[in-house]
Amino acid sequence: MRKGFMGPLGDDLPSIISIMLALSLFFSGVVYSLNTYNQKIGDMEILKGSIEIQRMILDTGFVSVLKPKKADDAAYSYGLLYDAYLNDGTNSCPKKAHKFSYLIADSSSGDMKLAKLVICTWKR
Amino acid sequence: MDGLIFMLIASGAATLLLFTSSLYATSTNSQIIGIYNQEYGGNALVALHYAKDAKGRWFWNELRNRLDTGASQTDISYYLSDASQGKQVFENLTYSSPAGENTYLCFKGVGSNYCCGKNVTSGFSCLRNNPPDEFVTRKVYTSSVKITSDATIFLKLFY
Repeated sequence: MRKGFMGPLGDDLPSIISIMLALSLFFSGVVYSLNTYNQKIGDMEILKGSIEIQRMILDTGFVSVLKPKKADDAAYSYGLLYDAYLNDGTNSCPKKAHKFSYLIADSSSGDMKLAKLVICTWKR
Repeated sequence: MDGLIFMLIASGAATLLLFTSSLYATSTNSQIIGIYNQEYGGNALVALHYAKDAKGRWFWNELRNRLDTGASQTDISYYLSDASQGKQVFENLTYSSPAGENTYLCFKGVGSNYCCGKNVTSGFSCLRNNPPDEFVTRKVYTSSVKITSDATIFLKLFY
């Protein structure tokens, strides 16, 4: 056996380590980028869904029914679940839900008054 | 040596990917914030059309009357700060706004009369500058509605 010879694999060990390191670095970058991309696309979809739900609730320019059927359909078409409440009313939003608030005119109690409408949306 | 060169290239490519994805994330975030703020502003101005002050008068009409007659900034500030008049309406606006205390309502009436103000502890405070000096470097989202040929109301959200 030649002096210092560690076998075909042993001789290439430094290169193999650096190549493995480089590959893992590269693929970590790819995975991270894809995750960021998917997360942002998801956020954008949730925003679009929330706006669509809000448009359905404010179809007439003011709120008469807080959760109309049209809003349920809009949420369903975006693959979302949602909750809508006025001011600081009881809500059942999960912690990770996206919350969007709007100033609206509320006529649900008969008299027209300003209120804060909170819509929270989350993935189905 | 080949391994090191390969590592250098791969780490360069990974850095480029990370940079691109963070750039994409930042731009998407600002798009989301922008779309939501514009949507909020449009809805708020529509809601104000239906708002009544504490005396049961239409909020929009009261502002229109003041702006059309060239009312002073003090008069507008007083109307929006007085609990027996329009204070509650403006507080509702600030309370629901994503920009919170940095929600400004600005008015342009007849002549050079201009008022741009926000809610402070004493009520609505009319600042004359547009945009207010301390916010010139901040991001601002503006929605506006023309209520008569001479009067326009702006809703400005500062970040």
